[in-house]
Amino acid sequence: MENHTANIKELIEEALADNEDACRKILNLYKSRIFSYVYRMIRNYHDAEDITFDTFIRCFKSLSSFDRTRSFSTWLFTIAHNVTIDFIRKNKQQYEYYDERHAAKEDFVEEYEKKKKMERIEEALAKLPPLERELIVLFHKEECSYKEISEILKIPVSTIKIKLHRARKKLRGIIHETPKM
Amino acid sequence: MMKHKEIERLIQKSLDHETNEEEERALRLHLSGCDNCRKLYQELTQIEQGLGELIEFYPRHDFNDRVLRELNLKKSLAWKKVTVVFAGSWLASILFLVFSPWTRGMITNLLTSTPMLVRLFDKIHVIAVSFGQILTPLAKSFFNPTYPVIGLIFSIVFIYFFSKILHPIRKIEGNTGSPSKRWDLLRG
Repeated sequence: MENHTANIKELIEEALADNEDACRKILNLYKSRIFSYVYRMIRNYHDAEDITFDTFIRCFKSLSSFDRTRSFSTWLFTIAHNVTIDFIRKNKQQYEYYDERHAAKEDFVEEYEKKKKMERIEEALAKLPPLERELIVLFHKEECSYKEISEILKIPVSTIKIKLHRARKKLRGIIHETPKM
Repeated sequence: MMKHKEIERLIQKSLDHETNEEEERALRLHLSGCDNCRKLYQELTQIEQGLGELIEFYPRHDFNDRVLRELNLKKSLAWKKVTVVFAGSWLASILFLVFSPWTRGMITNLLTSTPMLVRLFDKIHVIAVSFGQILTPLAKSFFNPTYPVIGLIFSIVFIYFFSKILHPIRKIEGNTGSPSKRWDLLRG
């Protein structure tokens, strides 16, 4: 972990000096994590890709303002979260962030999903309200700590705990309701 | 015996990785004797495990290149290199043809060593003379020293725009400004 952190710091220094290889390495390290996170929020491949693209552009353009004492991934997820929210606000007709939509399952997921269990969890996740879904993804999939999630979402840790507990129970309830394939 | 509500709180705490040894022991003890709570615990831990194993999604394969190009970091030096090489070759060949004593000598040797080439050269010469009357102004300007320079500039401009057509640049303003238009473009 320490090596990884040191490595990231070195890569950031090199990226600040416009080193293409360093930027490429940063992209390779984080693009799938950011894209997966955004995709699970948006449920649309092309829009998720655009948001991920804008996230990395913002990241690299404001890299000089990044506080090196902070976690780079937390900072990056914060940008991704903000870009996603901006996008959703601009496209209210298609996306309702605090609504319970997004139940539709897309072909793209089916294409990649192999395990039935995973399919059911993915489906159930899509049925969760976006904020709860975001909490579940950040905590369980991205393994962010409460403190990191609090930084990303600008929500107090106590609120995150309550909402996460509720989200877990809700997820379990949805999985129970979903007929087994 | 702890209440079920209390156990549920402990289960959540355990999933948060925040239970101490005593709480963990109490939880195990209760779970060993309570089917409902054990079922809840098992299901929640299975979901937790499943969430951790969810697959990663990836953007398209050219994602890195697009980001780097947007940042003007991509090694877009290809066209510059080609232009430099092209310009160098151009100038070298012009200088060689104009100043080298080998050129005239080589042509003479070639023509005298092959009679067929001499005949061909004569025919071309006759044709050239015929057209000479018409092409005289052009022929004169052909040896104008500015002509190769114009050609060189034209070549550089051509290579530059050709490279832009091959690697079109996406503007970030276009991405954030009008998402609906962007969707249409992406979805074809």
